[in-house]
Amino acid sequence: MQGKEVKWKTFFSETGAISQFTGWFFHEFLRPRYEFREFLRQCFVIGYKSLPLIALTGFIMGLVLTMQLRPTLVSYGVEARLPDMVSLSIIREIGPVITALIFAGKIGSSIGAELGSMRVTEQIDAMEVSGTNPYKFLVVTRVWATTLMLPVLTILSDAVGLYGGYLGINIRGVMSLDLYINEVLNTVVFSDVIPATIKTFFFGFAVGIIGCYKGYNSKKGTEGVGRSANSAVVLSSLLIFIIDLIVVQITDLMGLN
Amino acid sequence: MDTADRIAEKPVSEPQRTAVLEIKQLKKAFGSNVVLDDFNLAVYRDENVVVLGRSGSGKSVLIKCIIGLLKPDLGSINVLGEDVLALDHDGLDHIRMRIGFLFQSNALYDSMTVRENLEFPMRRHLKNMNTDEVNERVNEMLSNVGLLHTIDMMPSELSGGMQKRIALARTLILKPEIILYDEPTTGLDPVTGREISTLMVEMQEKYKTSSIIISHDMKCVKATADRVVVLVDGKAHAIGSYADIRQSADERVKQFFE
Ligand SMILES: Nc1ncnc2c1ncn2[C@@H]1O[C@H](COP(=O)(O)OP(=O)(O)OP(=O)(O)O)[C@@H](O)[C@H]1O
Ligand SMILES: [Mg+2]
Repeated sequence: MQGKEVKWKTFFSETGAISQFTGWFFHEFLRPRYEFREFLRQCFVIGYKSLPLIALTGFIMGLVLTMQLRPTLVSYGVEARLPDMVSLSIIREIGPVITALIFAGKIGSSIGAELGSMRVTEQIDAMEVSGTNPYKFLVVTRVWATTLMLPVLTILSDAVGLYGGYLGINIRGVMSLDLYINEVLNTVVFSDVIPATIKTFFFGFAVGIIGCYKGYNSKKGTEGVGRSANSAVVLSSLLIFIIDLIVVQITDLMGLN
Repeated sequence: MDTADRIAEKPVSEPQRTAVLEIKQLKKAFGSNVVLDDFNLAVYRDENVVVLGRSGSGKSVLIKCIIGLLKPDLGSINVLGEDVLALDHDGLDHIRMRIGFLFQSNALYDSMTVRENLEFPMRRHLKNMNTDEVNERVNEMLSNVGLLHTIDMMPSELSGGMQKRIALARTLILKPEIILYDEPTTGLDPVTGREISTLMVEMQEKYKTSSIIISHDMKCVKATADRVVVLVDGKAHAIGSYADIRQSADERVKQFFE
């Protein structure tokens, strides 16, 4: 019983601390001074760093999904619907979530480790005494960068995934790229794309804020840095699923399904 | 802003021993862990005060309170005529320009070159300084520490002693009037430690700074101290010249010299 109580206590205090940290973001991001250069640098670093990995996983995801779906559709005699199935699954669900999870693994952990080591080696303190608000310089720029970059990466991953789907269809069948694109565009409508894109902003925000929170509050010592990176990935992955769950409820209620 | 100018502005009739930094009845606790309790200290112009204390006795906490990184629970801190605890954000930034801080772990920015590390405080504090002035100042400080050739290197490419010197150059870059050194020689070999101590004394003479030096390296203490303060149980347990403290009969002071 004792142990359980302690766990609940840390759960609530952690939730409170993260909320406060997030509130701080909304408090700070509108006020000058704007660290625009650092923001651009972070966009470049964050986007560029995860690009190859996300493209590769997107491609494999599309290919494998197609190959896995084919036997079922064949058994129902609706093989022709394969492009529809693949494109809807990728755009509505698998693309955003897989990309966000890869992003959390790659970027969430690197932000957690980077800020964590800056914390334990007093670089964050050094910034503060050098007339710089470290929260603005480090956290606000990174959270903006992840929030804006993940949607872009997701669109890219979707596109590569759809191409993987095209190749997957052509392993066992024959379909021209023109026809495939046509099928996809006929199936996918705005009400598929918009909620799927909107949720990626939230995913990106979650990855950024959790990575920064964990790093910024890192405990002393190198093991503290490792723990920050690790728990940033675990927590932001969990949040991605929770946000996904909430978004699907909302779109369902709005009749967008 | 130049240090020499600022000193020249002071009235000539000012008494010789002006306290540039005065700490009164400082108290700081983290939860139930009382780190500093009724700590008092004054630092005079052009003076090096060494704070001796065991690991975990609150030395870093003390100087972090001075520069406003930590908020003490009670007491007052007066730096260069300003009450640090009453300052608003801009006031605090302003006073921080006049205080240099050498961090225990150097705190060099890993993602920046040596040049960018040195430029950072200038670009942030003195927004209207032009590029030539910035470059000149960077070169001046790097030659002071004898590391001009490392200007385009990353901190990770430098040895511990070199990193310490670069950190010292960055601390000096705004020509502060007061410098707070957090264990400047800890973790260095004796030879490098001696070099750093010598460099600190040289810089103090060149730029006429006053400083608080935290250390438990007796060689460094001997080389740099005008006065020594022994921090025990959150209080200034003993204050005196190096010779006085060295000869003290007090058990809690003697342990540092064993
Ligand atoms: N941010 C903080 N939160 C909670 N406790 C802290 C914090 N900073 C320091 N302490 C505690 O204050 C005490 C003094 O720490 P401090 O870092 O000042 O020691 P120190 O004298 O500098 O030791 P060292 O020689 O190891 O650097 C320690 O018990 C430490 O656990
Ligand atoms: Mg310390």
